[in-house]
Amino acid sequence: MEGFERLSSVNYETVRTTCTYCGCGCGLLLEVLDGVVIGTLPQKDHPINQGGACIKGWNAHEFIYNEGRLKKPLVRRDGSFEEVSWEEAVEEVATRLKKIKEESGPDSIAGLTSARCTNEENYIFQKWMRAVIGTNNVDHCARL
Amino acid sequence: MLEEKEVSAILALRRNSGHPTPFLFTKAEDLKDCVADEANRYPLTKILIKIAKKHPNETIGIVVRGCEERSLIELLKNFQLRQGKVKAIGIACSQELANQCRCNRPFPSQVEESDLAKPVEDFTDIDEIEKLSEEERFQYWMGQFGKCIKCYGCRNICPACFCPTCTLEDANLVKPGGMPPEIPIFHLHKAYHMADRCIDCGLCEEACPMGIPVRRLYRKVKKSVKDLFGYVPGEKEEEKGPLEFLGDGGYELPGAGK
Amino acid sequence: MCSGRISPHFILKAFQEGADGVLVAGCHIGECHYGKGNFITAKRVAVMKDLIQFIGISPKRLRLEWIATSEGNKFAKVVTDFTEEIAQLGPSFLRPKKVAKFDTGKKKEGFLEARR
Repeated sequence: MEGFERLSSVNYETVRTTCTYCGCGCGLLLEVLDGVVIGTLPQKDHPINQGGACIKGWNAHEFIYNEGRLKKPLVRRDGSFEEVSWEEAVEEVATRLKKIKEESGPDSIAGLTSARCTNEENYIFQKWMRAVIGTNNVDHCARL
Repeated sequence: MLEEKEVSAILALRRNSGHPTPFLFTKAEDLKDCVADEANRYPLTKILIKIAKKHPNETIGIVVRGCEERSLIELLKNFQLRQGKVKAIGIACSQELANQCRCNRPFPSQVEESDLAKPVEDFTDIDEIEKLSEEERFQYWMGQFGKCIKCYGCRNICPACFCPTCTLEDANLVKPGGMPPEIPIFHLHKAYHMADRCIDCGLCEEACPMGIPVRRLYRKVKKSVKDLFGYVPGEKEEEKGPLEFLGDGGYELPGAGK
Repeated sequence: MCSGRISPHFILKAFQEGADGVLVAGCHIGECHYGKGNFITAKRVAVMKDLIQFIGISPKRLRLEWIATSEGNKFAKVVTDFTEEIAQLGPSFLRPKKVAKFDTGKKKEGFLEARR
């Protein structure tokens, strides 16, 4: 028993999740090594994909650590982006959207989200567009 | 069932809300969730390469079936894993599993206990193709390869595929873009590259979302290598694959000019 | 350059581009200018022949010959024989079906397009 209990700093596990890209919803396993996502494997026993995945599914982990991702909320002021706090950003968005909705009606607003958000985030987004803004104009880059 | 050895962790399948998923066990009490005989297989040896690369000084145990042990031997031969840093814990597959996988050796060389399943020697899938005429064969294979969606699943999941720069992604050898990719060479490139490394685990065919019978192709190449050079991958640790070294005339050279 | 430099992937690429035949020529066994290069060529071509035969491309389309630098006549004979053999076998199934006589800028129709 002793050898095994020797404290190791290695941590590897696989997390079951659903692919965020197209509407198929293939089951994937994200490989996490020491807290960093390093790869994807399709779930063998998932009823939809049964161990297969398309090329987007196999690389579903790649966007997580992409350098192009935003780290702080940005607001465009005087032609350039400024970092602001979350409260300020939410306040700005809410005020302006409210104004547009009053002046031009809810259907003048469209919501565009991304397949690289989690399925849950996209659900909240479309629910918010429909229930709060009051429009059906919602889409994302891979609604296929 | 598992003997505790001097390892930092053991890589095996773990029951995760009813689903077997690869996991690295670091605590003895977690081992009760470990699943052994399971029809859903994952390329554990390939995962081991990734872990070992990041933690080269740790010794890691891995639960292996027959096919995974062959893969382990091949990877050790090709210097993807270090000899003293991997400890294999063998388990045998059930007869049902052996029949399903058409495995020719469903148990590793050192297995803990339990009855050993009978190996399945079945070449009917290759013979079926060899009975067809040349044109029929070509039509059959082009029809099958034409289904390919270039997901790279067969390559990503293969325990014998480890090149950091893959031939299939080289724009000079395989034209990029286009669906299906350039066939038949897309599949032939991989078949040749793995000619003396394929361990016939069958993960490739299971991973293909289009159901292309790629395993048949790789088994044929494996049989060719066996017939020509008498070499079977994954068996002896000392023997190097015939296509991995220039040659010393030791193998009987096939005649030229044919 | 050694025949051992011929990667089997090049041979496959040649067939994909529509080559009817591929001839690989190297120094005689034991006389490789670089030592042992031709050993691996022999092994590679043997495996490659089995592979293409399985797919339905005749193994006669891939030939390996040992020709020394001084054997000019042998080289000429081999090439002539090989060309005749290939002419008898006919065009490869992978060859584009229609070849434009003039460069009309149109895409060449390949095997797959012709089938559709």
